[in-house]
Amino acid sequence: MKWRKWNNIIHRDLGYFLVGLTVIYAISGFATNHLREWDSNFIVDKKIIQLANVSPNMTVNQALVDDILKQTEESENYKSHFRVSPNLLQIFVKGGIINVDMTIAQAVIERKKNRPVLRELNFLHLNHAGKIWTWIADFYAVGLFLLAITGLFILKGKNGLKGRGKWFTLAGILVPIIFLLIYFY
Amino acid sequence: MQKRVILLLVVALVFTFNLLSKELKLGDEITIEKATKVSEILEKPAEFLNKTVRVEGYILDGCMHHGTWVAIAGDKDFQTIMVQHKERKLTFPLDHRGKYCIAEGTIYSVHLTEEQAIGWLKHLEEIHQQKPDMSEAKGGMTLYQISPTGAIVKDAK
Repeated sequence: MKWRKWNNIIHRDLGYFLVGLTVIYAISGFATNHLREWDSNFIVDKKIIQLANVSPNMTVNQALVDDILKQTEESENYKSHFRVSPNLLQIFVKGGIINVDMTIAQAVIERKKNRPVLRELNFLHLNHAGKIWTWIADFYAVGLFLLAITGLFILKGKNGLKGRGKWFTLAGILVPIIFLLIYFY
Repeated sequence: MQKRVILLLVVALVFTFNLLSKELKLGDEITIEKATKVSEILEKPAEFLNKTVRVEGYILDGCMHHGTWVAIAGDKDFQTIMVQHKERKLTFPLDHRGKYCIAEGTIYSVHLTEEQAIGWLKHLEEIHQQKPDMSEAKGGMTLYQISPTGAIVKDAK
């Protein structure tokens, strides 16, 4: 049948074309699926320093901030500071933040840098670019849909949709339905 | 062919320079010249409701997944204001913590039910490492936020 020939051509050529995007979405999808456990966008470098001359509920003024900056060797990087709560002070420095917990007199210097490759993949996958990339992502979504549908009809006979294919397809549809029933409804 | 290669190179250069730029402009141009103090908005929020203001400050916190909101430090201790587009049409870069933000937008209110308010205060407890006064949640809470039309995010003031 002619339609099957076109079905297979579309599946083959679309498959080749979308390999790059599929790899991007697959890797980023795996990474962002675990965002709660692991920040796939940034590598966070934390340095903990025990501070002297800091105690709970003390007055926060520029002199105290300067002293903390001296102890953490960040004096040259100072930008500003803000008292988040009576015992939590945040000092903004170039490229990072110093979180000062006055109850335990501890400073945590936090610096973030982009996780190479993954940051870029997530940027695309989560559509942080917006604008034209939105159209490309929409095209990819349609392409994936076409790949799924055309894939059903590639083979004929006992290995096709009328044969063992129907069981695998049904199982694949049932998995998300079961999870929805358990966790959503 | 040569013209296409040159055009591609120009586009790539522009893109690269945009990434390297220290100042990121989001949304519409900021037109208001003078910033309103966060303390003024929080002390008399009804006066500012539905008004367009400009606020500025260092970013303390924000959505780490999609950049849909940031919390800006106010001019007084303990005071912050959340900048979040009502329809999430403006998003902030994910590496926003510790950067300086200028935002122009409309003040709107969000009413939290008592249950939502408890959840919100517990979230603040995590960030501020200070036990909040949970009685504030009784009967619900109203938060005042800014829905930005434009913003600038830069390394320092």
